[in-house]
Amino acid sequence: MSALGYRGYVASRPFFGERAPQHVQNIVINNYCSKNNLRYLLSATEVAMPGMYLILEQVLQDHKNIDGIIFYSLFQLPEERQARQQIPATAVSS
Amino acid sequence: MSESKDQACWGLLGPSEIEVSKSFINKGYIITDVHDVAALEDIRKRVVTYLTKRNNLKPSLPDNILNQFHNWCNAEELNELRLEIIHSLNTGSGISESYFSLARPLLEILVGNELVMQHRVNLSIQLPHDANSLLPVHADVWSGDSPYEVVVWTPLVDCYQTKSMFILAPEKAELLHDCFQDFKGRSSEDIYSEIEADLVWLDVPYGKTVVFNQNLPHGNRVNVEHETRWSLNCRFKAVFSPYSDKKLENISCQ
Repeated sequence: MSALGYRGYVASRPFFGERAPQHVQNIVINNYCSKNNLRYLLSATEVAMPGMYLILEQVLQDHKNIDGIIFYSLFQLPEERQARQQIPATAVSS
Repeated sequence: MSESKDQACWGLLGPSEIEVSKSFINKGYIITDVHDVAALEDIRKRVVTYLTKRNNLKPSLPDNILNQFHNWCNAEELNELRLEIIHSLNTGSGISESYFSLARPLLEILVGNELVMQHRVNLSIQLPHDANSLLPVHADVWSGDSPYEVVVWTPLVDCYQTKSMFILAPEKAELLHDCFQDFKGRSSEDIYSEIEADLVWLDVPYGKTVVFNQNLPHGNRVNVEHETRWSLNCRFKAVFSPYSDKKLENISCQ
């Protein structure tokens, strides 16, 4: 099992017409970690304000303390293309 | 406002209740003596007993074991330990009733006497100089919690300065919320830098509890004191006040 752990990332606002309760999102991520023998860290919850990725930015800045981020859904990524492409680019470069 | 009109605003609340309510509105938090000391000591005893057995520690005073726990636990195993203790506490009998009793009179003044509380009492542990257990500045309402909730935060050891939590006063929080969109593309650390000078660090000795307004930005930083912080927290709201992302099925009634 990884030493640092994987940070869960859950949504508190709808995305692409989907809205899952936060505790359900946590169950899904926790289940994924269990199946894949990954150390699961407390999930970070994105703010509810539309278009804001405050928490995701913070988690990315914290990359040295984690092995990775597990999104509940790919569709949590920013809708705007440039911002969306920046996320994995930042992760890969760190 | 005339005295009679001011009193009318407060309905049938007595003078001490009005004073508490005004203080909560102005500061965003109240620090008070725990109402049920025996309940607090029982909760602490449960935690210490679990730690003593789990880590095979020599029996000692609870303060010693909790404050010096960083000598027996490293940062890598901390999260697993925290989850174990949370599970142990919440599957044991009466934890919700015990935790509610710590701040019951204050909750009944500020929130009402028909309450719901989170299903689980949560535990936070901060080892000295450990950056992994940080809670960046946030307001719970930012991530979908009902603005009608309050948090009861109770330390199991004396908490002060960076061994404690910080909160932003209501008038400063309002200024922050007015310009929140300015932080688009930035992180919560940028928010912290902006408000750092205005933050209030809560001095909360063991035996006291804090009821605070979760609409206000709060959090913690790296604990640079020499002792480990242990604190419990749980949210309460009036059962008929509006819910947000977390619905009634996720909480318990009191």
